[in-house]
Amino acid sequence: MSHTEQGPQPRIMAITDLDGVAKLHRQCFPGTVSIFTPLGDSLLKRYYAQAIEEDESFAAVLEEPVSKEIVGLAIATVKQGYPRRFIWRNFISFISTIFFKLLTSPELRLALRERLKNLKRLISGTGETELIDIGTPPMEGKEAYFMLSGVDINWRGNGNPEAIINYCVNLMFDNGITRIRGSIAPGNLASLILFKRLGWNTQKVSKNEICAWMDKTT
Amino acid sequence: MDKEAIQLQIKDVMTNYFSVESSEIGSDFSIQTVENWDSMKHIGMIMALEQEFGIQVEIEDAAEMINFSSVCDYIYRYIENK
Repeated sequence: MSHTEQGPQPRIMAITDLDGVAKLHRQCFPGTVSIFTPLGDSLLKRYYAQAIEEDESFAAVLEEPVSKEIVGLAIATVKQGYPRRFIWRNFISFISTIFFKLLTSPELRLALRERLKNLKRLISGTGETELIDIGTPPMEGKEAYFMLSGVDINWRGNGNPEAIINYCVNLMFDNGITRIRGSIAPGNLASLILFKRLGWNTQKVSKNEICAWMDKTT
Repeated sequence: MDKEAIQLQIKDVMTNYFSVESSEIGSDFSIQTVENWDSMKHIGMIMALEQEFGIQVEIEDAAEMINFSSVCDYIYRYIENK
């Protein structure tokens, strides 16, 4: 299914999109990838609502014009530590949901085991390599972190992933951001190629991380 | 196997895979200039090359094979070091 003028169109995410966004998140990011997936829709929707509500975060969707189905999503933020902020703001819900679901959800138990390996990084909100550490000079202006993007499996290919990422990039550049950076897992060849195709710079910085960044050109 | 023969073989694979004329495949044939060369197509191209040359491409190397020149360079090196 192709991204054309008649195909899915990117736009800013709205609160009314959250049901569709949560459904798409579960499809794109299983529990082994996102700890929020096994926690249920209520927390998932709040996770994305944060990006809509925060002044310095950006959230976009790809909407199929006929069915109005949400087939793509992307979020980015200027302030590092988005997951940490979410957990602290929703601490009681987060902990109580984990407590109750631990007994009933093997997916959550597996996801938590994986996350506990990175607990320190999750709490501190840091851990990603600074670009200056790999010899990339800083840019004047604001930097944003591209956190995630996902496209419905039936809509992948044919320009749809590119459409939502480019939309988000342009949105950020239009709002004063001069550098956008993100992190890709070294085994994620599809994402690596996607970002290279879009003109992003990439550099492997550790066995677990490839830095990707794009600077605004005047 | 000499470099020219390898290059022709790579061109054949890419011509068939991307459904383009052989004359279109040159130094500027890349993921950024070819409209249908997206990530899914890239993975398929790597698999087609692996099958054609009897090689196994590591993910890190596959991520660098983003234009005709880098594909050729990789395959030359692979075959020379075999």
